[in-house]
Amino acid sequence: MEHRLDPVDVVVVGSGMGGAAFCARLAEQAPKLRIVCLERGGWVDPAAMPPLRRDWQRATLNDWAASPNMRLKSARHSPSADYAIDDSESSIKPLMWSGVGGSSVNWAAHFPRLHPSDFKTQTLDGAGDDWPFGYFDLEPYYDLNDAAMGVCGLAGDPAYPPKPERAMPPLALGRMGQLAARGFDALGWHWWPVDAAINTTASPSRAACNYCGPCQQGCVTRAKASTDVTYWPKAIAAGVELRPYCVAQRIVIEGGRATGVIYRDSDSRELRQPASIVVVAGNGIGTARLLLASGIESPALGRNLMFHPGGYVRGIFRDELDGPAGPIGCALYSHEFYETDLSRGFKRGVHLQVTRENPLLLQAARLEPAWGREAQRLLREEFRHSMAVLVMAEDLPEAHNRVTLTGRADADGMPGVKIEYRLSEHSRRSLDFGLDRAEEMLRAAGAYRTVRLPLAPLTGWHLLGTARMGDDPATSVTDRRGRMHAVPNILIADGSLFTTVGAVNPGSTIGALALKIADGLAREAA
Amino acid sequence: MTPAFVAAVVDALLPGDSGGPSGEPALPRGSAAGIDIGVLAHVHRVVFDAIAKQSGGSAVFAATVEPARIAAIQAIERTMPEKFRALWSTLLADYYESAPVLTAMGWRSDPPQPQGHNMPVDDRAMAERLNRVRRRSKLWRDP
Repeated sequence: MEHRLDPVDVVVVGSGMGGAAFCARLAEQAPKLRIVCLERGGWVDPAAMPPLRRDWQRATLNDWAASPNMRLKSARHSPSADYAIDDSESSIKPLMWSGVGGSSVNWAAHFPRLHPSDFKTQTLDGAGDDWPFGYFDLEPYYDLNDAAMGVCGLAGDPAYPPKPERAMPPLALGRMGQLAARGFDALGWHWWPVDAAINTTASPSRAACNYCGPCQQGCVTRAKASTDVTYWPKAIAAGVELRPYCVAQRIVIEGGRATGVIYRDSDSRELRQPASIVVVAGNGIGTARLLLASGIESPALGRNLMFHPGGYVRGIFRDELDGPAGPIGCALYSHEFYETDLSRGFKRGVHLQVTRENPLLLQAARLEPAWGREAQRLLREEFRHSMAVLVMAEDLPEAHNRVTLTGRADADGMPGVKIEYRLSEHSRRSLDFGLDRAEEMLRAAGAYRTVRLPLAPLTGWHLLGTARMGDDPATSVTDRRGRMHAVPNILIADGSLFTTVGAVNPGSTIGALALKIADGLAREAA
Repeated sequence: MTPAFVAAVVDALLPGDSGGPSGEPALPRGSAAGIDIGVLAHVHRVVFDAIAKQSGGSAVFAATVEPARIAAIQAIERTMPEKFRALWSTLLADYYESAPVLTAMGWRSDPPQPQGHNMPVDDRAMAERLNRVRRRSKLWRDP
């Protein structure tokens, strides 16, 4: 029998981008509410992060791998409190971090917004579904989220509606980024330095980025924004109680309403936290898992799982470049092909992003042949002479792409979870188009050889759409306020809400959405 | 299984080179990069034993020419892919994290922090390129 705790007003599950932004905003807007956040993992100590160690490169394949399944198989103990995900029937492998700050701990901090057209894909293009509100409804929350996270970049990008001046100047492009800019320029295509949630000037508690490189192993200097260093100190100061190492097991539903959450603490005690409102922010897999494990029925729950399918083209140059230095996700992007042009043979568009390059070990690990003289000759030729262009396509919602429970118990006490995902013909066409354009740019920049990876399986950072917003309970899980149609006092505040996903990284939109949902709840609670 | 045999296998996988095109130092052979050959042989004994057997004995492998060594290793890579991959992953990390290899590839052996890296500041030409992009008419669609 679980131990029953004193009731609170709001219990939130998950402390990543959605959960953190939601808690901080709700505490600010409704200071009388008692808010508790349950987080399955703990705080990460910057002093223990791999970039301070000589064996930092191998951490990417072990305890600091982006994939929870890889971390669980690692001989080294990971600071992420992972659960296994059966991804045997998914062509893209899910990536995430489970701890205070969620996946913002090991994200690349590329911080783009969706475009206005992304919210109205059905109306404009007859593809996907419209969101229940538009870009300009979310815009004030984008601005708030930018301010809370700290964003560097440059205003004036013609690919977007006007944005306020960025708080800090953009990251330096370096030799590699400057060469990419010349390539885009030679073709007359759009390019722009990325918006990134990374300090380029120091703030009182966070240093300026020193271009060390491996953002996905955590940020030692705290130059990179993660919610454990941005939202959480404010939320805790405002009275939110954050409970690390607490694994939510199920939401208690009584009489059609949620009455609290049962969770396991670090001593394996089962506790019941009664609450008037339950908010779930465990990402597109974890959220669906918890809701399904709680017996909640809703036709679209767990369905319409969307990633951003990604492929790469690498250009090899005679000039020496500085690819392996600098924040891994950040140099510049092109939205020349972001909006629909039916002459391309598909609807919607692609995002081209010139990222920084991998460290030596990872570049060696991707070679074909893998070993022998030819492998080492190729590595000599490519290391410090390559530029990678990531092509991200827009997945469209498809009900057969989904999150389900396995029916077997997992080590964390919950039912195991599985994802099923097939790359659609639409996504394949758009990826191929983007890869062709990336190759064109690399050649224009002077690449004498290119190497193409048509689909990169380990790009499943963006876990979206499994509790989508909408007006129809038959095709959506929540309403426009993030409230579940099936159980109205359960709110969702993460990427599960996305009705469609555009072709850009979702972190900025997840934070903005969570702030909007928190404001809505605060108004209702007033 | 002799240290010479293990070293010969490691060197077939990681033969090194004679230096980079811009005067970088030579990449060392795998066995000369500071890898603990004894530990490697102990942990991945099954793979080394299979390679020796495939070659007709560890002494034969150590004495034979490179193409024959490569053929023997490729045969074991095909017959026990998981175990071979485990050996290769260990070797890859030990080798490409070693200071002589990083130096030979023109990279520093110190970790990324606390030093970081210098990044050249964007110049005036970049600003002018950006102005060209900035002057374009809007690319986004207003729904």
